[in-house]
Amino acid sequence: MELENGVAIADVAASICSAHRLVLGDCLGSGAFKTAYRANDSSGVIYALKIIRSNVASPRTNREVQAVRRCDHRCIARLYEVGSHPYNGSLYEFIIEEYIDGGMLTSRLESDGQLDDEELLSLGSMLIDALAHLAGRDLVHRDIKPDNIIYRAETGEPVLVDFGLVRDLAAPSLTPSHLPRGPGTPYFAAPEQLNNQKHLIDWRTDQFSLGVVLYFARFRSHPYHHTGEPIYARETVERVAVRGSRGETFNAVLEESQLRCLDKMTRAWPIERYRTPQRLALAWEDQRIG
Amino acid sequence: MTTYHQMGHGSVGLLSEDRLRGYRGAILSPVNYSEAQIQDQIAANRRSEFELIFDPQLYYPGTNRGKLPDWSYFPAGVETGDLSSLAWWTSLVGHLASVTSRLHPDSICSPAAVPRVYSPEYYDLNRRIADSLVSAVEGEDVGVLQTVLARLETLSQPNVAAEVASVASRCTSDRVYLVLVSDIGPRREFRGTEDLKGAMRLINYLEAADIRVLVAYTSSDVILWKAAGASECATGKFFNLRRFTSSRWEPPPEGGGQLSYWMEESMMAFLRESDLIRVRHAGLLAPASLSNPYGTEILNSLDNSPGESWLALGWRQYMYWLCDFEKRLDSGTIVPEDALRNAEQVWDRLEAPNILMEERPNDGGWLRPWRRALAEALP
Repeated sequence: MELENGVAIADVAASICSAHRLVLGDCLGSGAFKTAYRANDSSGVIYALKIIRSNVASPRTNREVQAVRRCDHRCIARLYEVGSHPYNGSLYEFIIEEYIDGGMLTSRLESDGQLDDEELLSLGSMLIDALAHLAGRDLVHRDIKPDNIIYRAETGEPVLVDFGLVRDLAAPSLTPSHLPRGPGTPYFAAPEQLNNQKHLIDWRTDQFSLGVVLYFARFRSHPYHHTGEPIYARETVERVAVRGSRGETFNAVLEESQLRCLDKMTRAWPIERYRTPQRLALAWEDQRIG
Repeated sequence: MTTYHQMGHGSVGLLSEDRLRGYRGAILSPVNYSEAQIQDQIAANRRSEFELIFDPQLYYPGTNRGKLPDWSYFPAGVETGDLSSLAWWTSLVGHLASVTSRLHPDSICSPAAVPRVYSPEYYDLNRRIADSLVSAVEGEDVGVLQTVLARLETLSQPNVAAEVASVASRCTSDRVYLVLVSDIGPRREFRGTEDLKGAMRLINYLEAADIRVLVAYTSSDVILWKAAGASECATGKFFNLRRFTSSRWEPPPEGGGQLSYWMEESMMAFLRESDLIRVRHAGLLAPASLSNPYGTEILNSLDNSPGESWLALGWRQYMYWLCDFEKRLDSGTIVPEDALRNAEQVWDRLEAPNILMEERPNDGGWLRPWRRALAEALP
């Protein structure tokens, strides 16, 4: 049982659901910043209830909430309610958002192995559109990875979730400059994130992560992975951090597919990637033509 | 046409000179003129396909140079101001936008100060200043060039060019006004191979991202910047005396007049009169030099009126050459590698007959670093 300050998080979730006339469902998962539960209302609509860990609440949560509230895109999860809930003498921050029920990209890759070119082109197209939406609002997700891409069961559309690390470029950074590494999941992070180079963080940082995710989804490998290394090798991440060379087979693999854009998307310096989401979107669609 | 006339003191007359009509535009400087005078210059020179760019020249905001302090955007209290603060610059940008609205040039360069340290934060601040200028002049039909001041020697460090380009490319403006800062002496050429390679990479990164780069204060080094992909270059009649160095903003030394210089393409060098006479005698002047209309006038003057000053003709000979040279570079008539190799060979040919230039550092020694930069800078 997960505890927060000696209190079972599930009990906190049950109390929040009770106050909002929701029925608590099962636990969806737990991360560094929050624990998520399924909950449904009397009409059967299902929601995701996320309870924020007390030690990370406030600035980051506020940033996440403000960011998602500015978004209105079919590939970005909708936010319904944000609040603080008193329980057992403590105040717990929570988020109630749209529940996406088609499963994570991670699960799809585990079951199907890898996506084919056509599936990847479609996935990329929709997520690039989501990145354009974020970039237009000066937002950088900073944690794009297969776990944070969930499909809608009814339409098959991918939805970007978990804006816990979102960077609002119009607001001061919440990451201390002295840290050697910025936040994000290292395996999918861009060099500027891995090196905490805040002046280089912009939508192109998400472009890099999306490029790695798409390459991973298609080829089950990382663009910077070198032959002989285990799939999630620390060396691969270090190679990204030092802006080393991509894998020996990277170019050959891309040439055999239609996915030429992944070359530019996963380049080490932001200047080498697509400058605007619009240009990336055009180039991505051009791949379909061949 | 991709050459811009970098305006200096007393050079406004050159804008309307027929034989210098090949220029793409002019970069107007407030240093020697009042707002009313610049307004007159804009009115007199506004014509189609000729871009008038206003450079606010706040490189050293603490320097009360020329008429700069009379301009309404010139900041008061620079000594106590926080020049690292975007808020300080945003306020200045507001005043600059008002001036822009009155002058209505075709484009304006964002204000930027020469820093003590060229850090990523400095470049990011300049990018934000440029973005704030883009917002401030929105609806005015005035283009904005983001001013990027890059110290040449810092560009020699690995990855600096990529980092600077990455930051600068975040700007909403699609144009960069690149000023390469150095401590090089008057009339001398850049000789640092790695510095030059860094500058070429910076230009190339930006251009590859569809950002048009206008390299300011150029001279014969235009050959390198164009080879790196620079869309445009700017030069002025004083380029060969003073480049963009801190001394440019200091009062000129007392005494001594200006000497006449001849730009010789076959050597990629500036020649004094006696040099010109001897190189001509050796039959080593380039065909382009002999067909330069101002060059012809100078040679006629040397033949018919020896001893007569040709200073003003020298400015024009150079300015005509640069515009023509850039045009030939753009059209592919000149291959940079060949031009520099040929120039080095001409210098070699001067060795045996002991034809030495008057100024000791004028020895063609920069051509090897330039050739290396051309060969090594870009993949």
